[in-house]
Amino acid sequence: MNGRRVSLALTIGIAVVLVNGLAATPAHAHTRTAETTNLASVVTNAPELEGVTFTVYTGGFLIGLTNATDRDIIVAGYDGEPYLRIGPDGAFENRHSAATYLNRERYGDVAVPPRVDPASDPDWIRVSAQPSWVWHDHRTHWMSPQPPRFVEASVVTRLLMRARLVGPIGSGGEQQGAFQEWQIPFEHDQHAYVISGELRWIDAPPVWPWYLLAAAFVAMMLGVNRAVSRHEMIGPQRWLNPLANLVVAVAVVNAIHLVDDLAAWPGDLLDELFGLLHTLLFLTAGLVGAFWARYARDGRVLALGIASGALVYHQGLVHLPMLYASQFPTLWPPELVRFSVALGLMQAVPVAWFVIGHLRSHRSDANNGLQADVSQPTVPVASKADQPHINLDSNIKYGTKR
Amino acid sequence: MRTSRVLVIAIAAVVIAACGGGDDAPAAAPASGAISVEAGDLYYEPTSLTAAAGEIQITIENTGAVEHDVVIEEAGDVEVVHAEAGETVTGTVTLEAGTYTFYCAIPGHRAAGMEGTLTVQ
Repeated sequence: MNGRRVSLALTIGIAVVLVNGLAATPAHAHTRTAETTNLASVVTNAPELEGVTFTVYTGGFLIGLTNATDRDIIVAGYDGEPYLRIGPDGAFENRHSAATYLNRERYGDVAVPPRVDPASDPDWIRVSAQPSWVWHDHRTHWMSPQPPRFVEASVVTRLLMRARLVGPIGSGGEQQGAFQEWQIPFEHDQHAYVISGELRWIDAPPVWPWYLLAAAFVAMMLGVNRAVSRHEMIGPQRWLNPLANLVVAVAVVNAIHLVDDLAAWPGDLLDELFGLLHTLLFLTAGLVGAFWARYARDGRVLALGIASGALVYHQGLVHLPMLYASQFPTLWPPELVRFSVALGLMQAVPVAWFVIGHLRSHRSDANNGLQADVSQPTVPVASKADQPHINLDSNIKYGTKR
Repeated sequence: MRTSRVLVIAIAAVVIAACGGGDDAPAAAPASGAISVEAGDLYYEPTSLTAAAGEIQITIENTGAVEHDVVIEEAGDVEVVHAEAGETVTGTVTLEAGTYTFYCAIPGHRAAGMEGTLTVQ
């Protein structure tokens, strides 16, 4: 490996470790995959008030309320006390309500100040100038990172859930559907209302169709690319370019996560920025690596491997829970997201095959005291006639047929 | 005369059978001043507890991933004991004979089923 390749690998490696490390700190652990679950929280009965909208986000982990009327809405806290005031002057929290503090953490695991007294007059503090607010209401979601008792989950899955890397998932068996009801009381224009809903357990759909579909897509991409380049390329270029094209296509599909990072979940801005940075880094690594493999003169196999690895990690592994859960935050059809995750994993199979074959070929040549010759790939080719044995200089051995 | 003798014997037999009990019948556990309950996510096991009136020690073994507590509703919603995930903690409360409802006061836990009955004798 020459100095240039080492620099490339080191630069990418350091950037990945830095951004990934920052994004994985507990402060930013609430990425969208942490919202992935088999729990659905659904509004079953909401009063029809013109200008008032309720939004329940994935799993009921967050609830949003917008009040465009000219009268305030007062949402009750856990002891019936005024908790939120939302109206024309903005959104306000009552500092004498325990809910103000408990709702700052998903499972309410925060200390409530001793001065909190639900019986005392509200002490309103403005939290938004807009007539809308989004909060963790512990009445609308399952209050544990572990699933309900009737759910079966493997030890590994339970460890991931306990680490809060993924929401409650597993198999509910026969027990699908609603298992718990919830209510949130509120007042509007001196009238009392209640918004009602229920928690449902919904098992994830089967996983194998997505892997199958992704494998078919990979095979089709390689087949088409290989057919197009048949009469132009020689040696490993036959597969290097199609594989690079495949990685580019997969990286482009990965862009759906960019949109979701920004808009699919109303998390705090810093979390969204880190999620976006995280996705951008790996998307860029995938694209740059693929273009490097396609057009550079040196280090092409290494670049292809890095590009593919970046997509396996980010598009595949980071988002893997979305393949195994029925509910996750996305603005896209869930089927497209599942397909993209499976694609992120499946694209690595032919790339790994190619890279390992290349490395074996290198080692074999080195053992024989020969100059490395990658013009004889260990991957299958269409026909012997298309692959003349040409022992070329390393700088031109990926070139086009002359 | 003979009829009344048969009737007396029959009644005595029924009474003896009712009081004798079989070997399979579980003997009622004497109420004690110390009880324990497992608190998981999101359940208590068991949900029916019995204790002797007076000072009662309640131990919760928190096998869940989040905090839990035990609050007695009829005793003024007093929190008797609180345990973080993985902890086993004991608390004390003084109760007179009666039937009480105990529950977990962490928001959302009671609605998920974390409540039970404590019978104090």
